[in-house]
Amino acid sequence: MNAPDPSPALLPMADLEIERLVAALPFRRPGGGLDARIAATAGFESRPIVHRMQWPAAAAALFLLGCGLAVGWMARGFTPANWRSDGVQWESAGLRDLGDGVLAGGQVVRQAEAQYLRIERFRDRATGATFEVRTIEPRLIIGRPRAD
Amino acid sequence: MVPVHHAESTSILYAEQRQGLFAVALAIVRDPALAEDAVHDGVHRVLARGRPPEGDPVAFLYASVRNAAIDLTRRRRVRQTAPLDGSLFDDRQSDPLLRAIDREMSERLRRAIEELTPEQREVVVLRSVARLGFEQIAAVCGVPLGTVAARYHRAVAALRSQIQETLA
Repeated sequence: MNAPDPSPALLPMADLEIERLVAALPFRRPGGGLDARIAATAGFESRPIVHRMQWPAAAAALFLLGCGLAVGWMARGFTPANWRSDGVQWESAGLRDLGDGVLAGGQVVRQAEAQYLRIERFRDRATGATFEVRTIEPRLIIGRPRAD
Repeated sequence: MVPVHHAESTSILYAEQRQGLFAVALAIVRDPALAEDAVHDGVHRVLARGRPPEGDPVAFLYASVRNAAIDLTRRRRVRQTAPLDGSLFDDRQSDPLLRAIDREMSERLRRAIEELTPEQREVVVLRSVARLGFEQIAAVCGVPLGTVAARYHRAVAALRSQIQETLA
């Protein structure tokens, strides 16, 4: 791939002869390890870019990681792990008469449905904020047989 | 990403020019192990560039290796390492069947090359071992064509005087 010398004919013959003599001298040669190093480097440099994160991609990845950490830090008070139950409280919420009922054995009984209010309070350990969950839970009550 | 064809063409170019590249690096760093490092660094810089050079790829590769060798030399000076055997020649390759006069001429020529100035020695190596043209040498060394020609002819004159002493 060398370009030919533009003016070899202009050199005196003695210069060309000296060039030939110099070229024939036993110059040191590189070791075989150099060829292996070059081959490995060429293979490494020609690998697909997906395996080489270059600085714009690395900067974008670091930025996104920073955003994620910041959002996580700001939202730390809202994580479920901080809410702890303060206990459950039950209250009566009334009684509804269902009238008479007949059991499987033919026995006539009085039936009612009691309404209970279940209140469970939660407290955030970090901020002291509280909230409560109220649910109505019915219970069927079977009374004594009617006297008549 | 380095295109595969760029890596391949650089590898082929290295295989063609390995002796010349090594000789140029050795002429600068004067240490075979460092010269190999310089060749590796220079080829790596060409590969890492990712695309072929606009100009002559041979001259570009030689210039890259030369620059890497100069960088390594500067770093070695900072480290103050002990001088090493930096001869350009390998005595084991000498042909034992050479005639005595040829052997003496070879010895004188080798000594004369070692005694050249670094700039002259570099031009001689690029010309005789790497077989580069003067324009390519000018591109490699980053000097005008006339400077390269002057260095070369002064170097050849010094070598010629040594040979003529042998023949006289």
